[in-house]
Amino acid sequence: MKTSKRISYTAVFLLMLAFSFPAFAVLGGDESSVATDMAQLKATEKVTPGDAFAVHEIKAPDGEVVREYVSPSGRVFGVAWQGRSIPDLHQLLGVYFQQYSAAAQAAKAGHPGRRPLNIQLPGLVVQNSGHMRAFYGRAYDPTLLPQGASADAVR
Amino acid sequence: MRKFLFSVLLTALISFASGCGGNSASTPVGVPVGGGGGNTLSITVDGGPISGVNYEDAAFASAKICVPGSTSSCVTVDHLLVDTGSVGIRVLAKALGTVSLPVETDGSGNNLNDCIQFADNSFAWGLVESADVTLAGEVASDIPIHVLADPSGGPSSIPNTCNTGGPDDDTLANLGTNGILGVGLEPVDCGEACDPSFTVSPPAGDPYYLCNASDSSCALALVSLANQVEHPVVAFPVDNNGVIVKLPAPTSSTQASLSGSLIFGIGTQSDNALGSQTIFTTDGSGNFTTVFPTTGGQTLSASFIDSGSNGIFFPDSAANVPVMQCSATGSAPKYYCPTSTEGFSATNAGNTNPSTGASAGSGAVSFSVDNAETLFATDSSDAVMQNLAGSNGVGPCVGGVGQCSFDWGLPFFFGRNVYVAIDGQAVPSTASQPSPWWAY
Repeated sequence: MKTSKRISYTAVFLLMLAFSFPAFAVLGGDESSVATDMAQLKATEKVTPGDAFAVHEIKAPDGEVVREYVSPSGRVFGVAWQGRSIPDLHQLLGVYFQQYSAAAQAAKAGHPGRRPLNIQLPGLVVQNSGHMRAFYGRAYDPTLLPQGASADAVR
Repeated sequence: MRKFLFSVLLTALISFASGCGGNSASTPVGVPVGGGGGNTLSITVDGGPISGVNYEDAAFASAKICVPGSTSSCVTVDHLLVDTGSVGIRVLAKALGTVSLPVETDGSGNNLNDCIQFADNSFAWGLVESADVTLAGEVASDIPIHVLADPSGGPSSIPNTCNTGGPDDDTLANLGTNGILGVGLEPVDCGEACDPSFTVSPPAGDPYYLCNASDSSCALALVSLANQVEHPVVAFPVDNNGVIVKLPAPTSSTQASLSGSLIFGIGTQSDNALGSQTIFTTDGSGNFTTVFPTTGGQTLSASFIDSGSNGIFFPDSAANVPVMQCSATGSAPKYYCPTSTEGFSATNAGNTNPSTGASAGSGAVSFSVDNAETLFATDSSDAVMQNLAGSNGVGPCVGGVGQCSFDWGLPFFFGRNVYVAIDGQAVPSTASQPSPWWAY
């Protein structure tokens, strides 16, 4: 039987759905899927419009950043992140999540090690790197890149 | 002594339930090598603990883990990955055998869980428990450690903010080791961002969760520095300001194994003096800058030294670097496969320490890259691969945003003594910069 050690700290309970980061648009989704609860969670959003695409940058108070790349037709074709952890990719990758997850797990199967993630599929690229407290990464659908935008834009 | 910014009331009642004793380790761990003393822990690059699986370019060490205060409820765990890229001890619950450590709780039926994520999007989850940890002749008494897959609920029970969808590292097969000995630049794994004395709400990326013991529901938690998973070296009574990873140069670019040592303390004993090494300051994220290639290269401002990375990893879009990516369907899809050995040069430089506003350190590094498919095919039993390298993503680094890191993994340590000065700890008077920094 486990013994326990009682510690003194403050627990802050939030709804499971409100975990850690404001909701954001999902890859392949509509830009209107950017949730309105950012203000409530004190995150800020900065929109940088452009001819080929717009960049929505969502920044949490502690510095974590998610950027969404939106085509002129309003479609999110890429997302990028930077912060102390990897953001909730279930939410961020949306319909691409299962495909990504299978590839990420296959990448390690039978070959242990610690190295950056680099998934290159015909309709999905997901990359991640960094270390504890400092991760960054991106995901995009190469088939959704708008005219005049290159994959290098997603960063 | 533990160096925290404030004292924490430890009102804990640690009770030792009878019958929870375990293996009694009779042999000391970390046999000193090369005439080293109690501050010298043996490390070895030997392919890891799984029979038939070669975990290349990874250094391992042993630790004795005991129920706090006990000399009998102990287990010696071998093959802990020596990792300068993370902080704290993380060990598979299964590797603890029958040793049952006290769990950190809030006293209201909630247990404290921790989450760690890695660059390959793998993650590990488990309880925070207290242990006495002996490394060579040094003891970290009653420190919080991370016990992986305890309880074992499977990834479906792990919150989505921890479960990235990547590999669940709560198994030996995925973790590849019995645990991780995180000896990086910080004294605890989260820091003030997760401490209620400094923060009013959990930060994005908070690794701590309080989970109800009866219904398994979890919520993010703020945890005082003293209760966060701790760098074991910081908890030593002496030799607690840093570590030195010492691995000799292999005699061949591939070989079966390599032995070295992890020295505790910097400038505290005759065997850990700071000599002519160059100090490289780091920024608030524990990064410095690598210009790669040295001539006409990109300025990668989020670069780092990570003994836990089993290779050298750098962006393959860096200027002047030939396309070297291995076949996506071959035996080494994550690595580089130049047609012949390629030599490279990079230049490292310190980033600005946010506390002092100062930066220091500059120096060139040469390295080579071999074809990983060939290495895996012809040297499949060699744990030491000096020239193993892979991609750290593609795309540009612009103004510090994008693919901006060069990951100096374990091959960088071969033939170098790499010093890790822990943030907030005193450094020798001969050191030109306060911690944190690397030196080599």
